[in-house]
Amino acid sequence: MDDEVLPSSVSPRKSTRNRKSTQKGVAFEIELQRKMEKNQQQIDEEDDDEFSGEEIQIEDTVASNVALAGKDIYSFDRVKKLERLETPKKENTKSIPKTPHHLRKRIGKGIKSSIAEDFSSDGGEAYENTASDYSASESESSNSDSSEDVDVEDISDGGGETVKAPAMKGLVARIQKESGSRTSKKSTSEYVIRTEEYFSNNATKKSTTSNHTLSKLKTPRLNQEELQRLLKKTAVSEEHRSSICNFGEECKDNFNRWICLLHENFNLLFYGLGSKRNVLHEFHELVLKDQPVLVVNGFFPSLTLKDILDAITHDMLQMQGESFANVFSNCEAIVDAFAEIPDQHLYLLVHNIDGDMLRNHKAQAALAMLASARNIHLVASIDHINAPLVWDHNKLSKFNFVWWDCTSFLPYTDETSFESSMMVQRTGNLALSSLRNVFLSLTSNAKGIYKLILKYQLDHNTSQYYQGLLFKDLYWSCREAFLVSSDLVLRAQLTEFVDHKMVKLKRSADGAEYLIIPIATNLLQQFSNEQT
Amino acid sequence: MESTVSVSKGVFVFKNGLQPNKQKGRGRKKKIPTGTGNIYRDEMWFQTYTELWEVLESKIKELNSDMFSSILSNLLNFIDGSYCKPVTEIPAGALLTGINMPDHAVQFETLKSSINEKISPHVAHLSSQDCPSLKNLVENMINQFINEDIDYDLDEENVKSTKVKIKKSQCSFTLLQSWYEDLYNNKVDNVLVVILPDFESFKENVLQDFIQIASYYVNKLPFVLVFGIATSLSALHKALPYHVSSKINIQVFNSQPSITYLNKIIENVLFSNDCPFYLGGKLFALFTDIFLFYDFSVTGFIQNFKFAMLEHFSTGNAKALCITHGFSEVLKNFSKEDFENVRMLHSFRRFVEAESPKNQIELLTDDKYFQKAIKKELNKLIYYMNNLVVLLECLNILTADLPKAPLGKTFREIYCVAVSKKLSETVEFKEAFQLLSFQSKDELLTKIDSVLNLLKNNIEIYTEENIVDDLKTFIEELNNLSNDQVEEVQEDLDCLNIEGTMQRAQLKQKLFQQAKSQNKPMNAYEKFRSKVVEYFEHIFEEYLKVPTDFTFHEIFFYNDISIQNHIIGSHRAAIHTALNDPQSYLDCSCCGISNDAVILSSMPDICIAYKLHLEYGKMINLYDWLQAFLSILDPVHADDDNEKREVDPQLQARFTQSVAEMEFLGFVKSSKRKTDHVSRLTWGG
Repeated sequence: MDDEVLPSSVSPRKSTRNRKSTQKGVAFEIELQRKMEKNQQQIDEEDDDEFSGEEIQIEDTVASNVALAGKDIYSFDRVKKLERLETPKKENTKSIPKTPHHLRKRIGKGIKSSIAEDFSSDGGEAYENTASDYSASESESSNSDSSEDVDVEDISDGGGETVKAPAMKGLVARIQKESGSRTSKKSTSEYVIRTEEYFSNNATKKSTTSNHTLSKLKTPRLNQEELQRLLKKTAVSEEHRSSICNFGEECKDNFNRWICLLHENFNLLFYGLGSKRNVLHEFHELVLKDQPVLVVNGFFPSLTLKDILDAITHDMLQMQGESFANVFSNCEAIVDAFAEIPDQHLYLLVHNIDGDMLRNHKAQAALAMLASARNIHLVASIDHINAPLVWDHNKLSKFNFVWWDCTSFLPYTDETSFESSMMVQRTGNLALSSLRNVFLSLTSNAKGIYKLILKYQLDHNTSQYYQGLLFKDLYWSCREAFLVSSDLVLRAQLTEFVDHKMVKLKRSADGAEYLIIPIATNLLQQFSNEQT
Repeated sequence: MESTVSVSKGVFVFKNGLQPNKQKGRGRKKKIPTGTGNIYRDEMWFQTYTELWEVLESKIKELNSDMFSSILSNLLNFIDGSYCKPVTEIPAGALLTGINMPDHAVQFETLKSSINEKISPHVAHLSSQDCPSLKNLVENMINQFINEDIDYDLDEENVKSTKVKIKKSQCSFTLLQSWYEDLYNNKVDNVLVVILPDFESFKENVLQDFIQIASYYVNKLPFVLVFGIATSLSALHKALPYHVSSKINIQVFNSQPSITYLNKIIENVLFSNDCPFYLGGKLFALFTDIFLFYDFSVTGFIQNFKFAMLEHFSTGNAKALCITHGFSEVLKNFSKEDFENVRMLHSFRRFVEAESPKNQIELLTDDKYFQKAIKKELNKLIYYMNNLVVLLECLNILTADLPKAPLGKTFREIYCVAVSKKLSETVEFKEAFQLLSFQSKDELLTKIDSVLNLLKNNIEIYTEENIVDDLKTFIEELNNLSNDQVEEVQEDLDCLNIEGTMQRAQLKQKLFQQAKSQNKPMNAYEKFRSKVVEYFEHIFEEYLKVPTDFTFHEIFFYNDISIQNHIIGSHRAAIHTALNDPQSYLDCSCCGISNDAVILSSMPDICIAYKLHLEYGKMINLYDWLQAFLSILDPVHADDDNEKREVDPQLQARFTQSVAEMEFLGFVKSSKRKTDHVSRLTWGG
């Protein structure tokens, strides 16, 4: 590798620093990768600053030997060479007197992002194949790519913080470790689905877990209000808070780009860990304040596709009195209506387009149809790890998404507030009051029937395996109490209970029907006390 | 945010003065937007971008119709001639479209409109999503026949406008029959074309029933079916059993595979002289790979190209210079900042450094002087780019059919290599030229000939040598070499003077040495051939430079691979990194870890919960999980083993939230198998 050969256009200062250039190369290559991830605009700004100041030009030729840090298996021998090249550097580190603090920080950051980039270049398992293809070519081409020369502010004008040699050593060691680990075993931060782990996970004998239950705790479950109250008090460390804020700011910088993309008939899809509601909301508040916007909470548990379409047809387009045979004709009508008003735009903000109720072919096809219209723009977020599976390539081509990593680390407070988490104690106030209301509207006979089921359940629900009240038994007790005269009447009555979710019908293995009230015993007790 | 959170609804409308079109009825027509509403519409770069994109878009459209035209005319002929003779079976055309469904929508639209224009006003276009049952299919079809016909008549301002629209639910075959007889006075006239673009997604029984019913009316209603088949013809045979397929008379039409389509788009549109925007090697490889290994979608490729273009242009007004001519006008409108934007380009620095100090100052301060320099450099680049494309095409002609095709078979493969490194220095290039120097006379002649033709058509090639003339002389010379000259082999082989007796081994060795040392003298053709090959080698070496050698190449070449994440997204990977190594995102000093197994108490709660859950098998005991969680966040109290453990409610709340979030992300779900257990939904790390 002729990496040490310096090109002709080297500034004189550079040659004096020549000795440690390999090591700097490490940082700069990484720096470079980090930069590539940032948007071009920022690069230009940064370079502008650096260009005016004093500078050293580091040719990427030097860096290219490290460029393959974690490329792939194909670069076996090159990596070995790299290790050889790097080993003497450890001794050299002491000869570097200073590295400015900001630079050091950037190095650290750069390494991280380079790792992130490496593995994200896999682009999902389906694409793994090709990704390795161009990472290989990447390492080859970086020699000739002088366009990506990297400049860094002069070392000597740094903040004056000294870097201890061990710190530097640690860094080098880490780099070596990372580059080395690619060859020996796969780095864990690389995201590959390892199928063999599936078998090791499933083939082994029944997994054994302890028999502890949460009831061993003094407060087994918190209730929802308590939880919210406590979570509000939770403090995030200052450093994390500031970087979380930075994410928000970074996103804000992109707002203009986003709106530009939307108008060019792309749609936006945000992914990454953490709630993206804030980002979408800010986008709505700052950019789309005066535009027709439809906000859809995909995580809302009783959202229906019809709600969305009705909101557009009735509230937005005021197409009253038109009825549609199916959702697709409804969508068609919407698209047609919007084609008539080409100068007005509708923005659909969908929080969690992978939400429970939208997780089906029909809903996604309908959304895709809307999103493909020229003046309907979709901005959506996904969170579920398997979310991209809901789209086939027909839908994807209609959606025409531009993906955006909006990792925010914000808690999913609103998103999870609907979920009945197993750790949250259900106060059941809601269940109780709805039960009460329905019960009040029942006829006296129906009330009687319900009371029978209730009483039976309260009397027998001591064991963990309460099966329920047999339909036949209920029928006979009802007859005895002169509540029903025939099987059919009872069934009609039960249907009403089932519809209101006051009773659940279960069929056991032998075909017998059991009736259960799906409400916690303590609540039932309370309810029954109220009734008597 | 509160305005969009509710426990009772999930959809929130912000109408903000949306004005629906109140005009109802038949008079409405599609309007053309009065201009882009883009926020950047006043920026120079955006205008350049829009202009360029419009040019490309129209060219793509043109190419699209060209591509489809031959098959279209075949189909039209087939439909037109289908009822010339009395038929007993329904004529059906099976159009094998190849697997990309989204791309075909346009084709079927063109098909429909050209049938409407040329053959018959009665065309029904049925997609499977509208036809879940036979009833829907028939209603939909007949509705399109009858009701769209009214619109058609209206446009012609026919007297029939008084006719009322027939309700969809009333549409039936008998209605269709009476309508048809009414329209054409009991004669069989215009055919009724039914297009099913996605044959495979239709339910088999619906199709079977439909075909059987339609076949009863074959003498009264002239149906013609067109199936769009994405897989293979066997799909048709599988869906239709014999008693059904015997009712139709299938003719198969093959359309070109999407890869040819892509190659055409690349060669005729993206690398035409009108398009000054070029993708760098890495990006270009990425896009073609997405196409080849991911979706075969030309539409997708074009959208990716568009996105790259937008990203390229959006870096500033310097990119407004990404045009093929007329730099002066653009430069005239440049402001101070715009010039600065150009100065910021990386390649400019190298350019400055190569200049004398006096010039350097002028370049950096004097915009006028700078402007001249820009023009000069850009013209160089334009020449280079024109040469590049033409010469690469020449090279492609020369090397495409070589054994194993070291430089690839298609233009795009050569291009990919050529813009990322100096082609003449690559092993593949040398190999290709080695192989070229084994070509026979005829092969060479045809190749030179086609290169010559290509060059003649591209007058805009700027080289010092006049390649066209040189090639002409080559061809002449080659033709002058008469066949016997080619065949003429010098017979004056040195006689093997085998002196005396030798061991067999010795003889063998001697013969071997002789064969080796004897450089077979070249005949006239071989001499000529090596001359030609050398000539080509020289030309390619001279003119196939890497774009990065040029100043301001950033204006025309875009090679930012980071947009990959925006195009294919790495959703799962992003979550995975964020959870495993939060520092990579948070960039904090507290969460640095040497390997992924390390759990630090400073990490976000969900990361801790996630890492802990990785240690479990299929089932996770919530109590144990909580204990593990606590031992990390609160190690002091971890080991007091009371009967009823008291947990800091704050920590418990945080754990509760983390578990809920894990469930939301799809890592765990609650399980009924054992109390207070959740089951893991993923495996591995």
